[in-house]
Amino acid sequence: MIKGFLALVLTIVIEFIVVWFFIKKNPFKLLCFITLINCLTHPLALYFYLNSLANLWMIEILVFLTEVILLKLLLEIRYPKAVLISFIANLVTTLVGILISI
Amino acid sequence: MKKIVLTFLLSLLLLPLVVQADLLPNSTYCHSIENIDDYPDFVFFAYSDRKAFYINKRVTKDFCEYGFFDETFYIYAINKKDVNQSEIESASNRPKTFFWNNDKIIRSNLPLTSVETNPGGRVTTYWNIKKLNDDEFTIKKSDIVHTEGADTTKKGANKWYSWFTEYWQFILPGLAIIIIVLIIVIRKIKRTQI
Repeated sequence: MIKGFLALVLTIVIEFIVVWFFIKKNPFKLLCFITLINCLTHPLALYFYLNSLANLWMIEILVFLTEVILLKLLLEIRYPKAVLISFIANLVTTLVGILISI
Repeated sequence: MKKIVLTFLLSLLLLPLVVQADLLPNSTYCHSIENIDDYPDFVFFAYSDRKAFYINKRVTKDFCEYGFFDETFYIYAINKKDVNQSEIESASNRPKTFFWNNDKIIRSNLPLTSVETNPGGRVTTYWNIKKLNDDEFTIKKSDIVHTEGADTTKKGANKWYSWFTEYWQFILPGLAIIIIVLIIVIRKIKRTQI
């Protein structure tokens, strides 16, 4: 569980940095939203990866799509921007995750 | 505000380094499946193919591993009628084929994770098989015991964090979705009032 939490914290930090690159306002609110979004997607992604759907890319696509919707709803941005942010954020976190596991 | 967020982010980044100290390979983690002898028709294995923690061995009632805190692996069971000795031996040579592509082998519902650490000592987690047949393998944690030399401390398996560690992957998303829905609803209500 500890490692799961550490991975979650690292994901929040990385995703916040990526989102901050695109939306430079209300940093505290932004951090809260990113934390909420990742608290929803990360534990479930980890659970399904370890227990049933052992396909990292399939899980990442599902996380990406979920985060697009949540970013759009919470940050009140347009879909194209939400898609771009979610794509880059998840690409970076996935690559960091792969690098750490090597 | 930016300074607060930056300080918070920095502390989040430093947190793993602090917690890492607890992850040092300094404990012996033992598992005891108390009623394993009630299932003489089955063969049991402990298996995990993670790079950081590889385990593949046939297990009996008690077994120990020396290693990292929070390592996770599952117990697998297979009915003796569905497996012969050569296949059991192949488990160590071709574990992926044996554990992943074998529809006769059943994985335990819970991973065997030690949720506590005991530097220099031993943590024994006691498990109980609740149900085991050809389709289902249900285990439940019954106790946790810390041993340091001759001293033994019963920790119990019913602490809140023991429960939380088993279900955090559902509790956290559940809370998050409730808060997200509340934010969206409150925002809409505020807008309709304006």
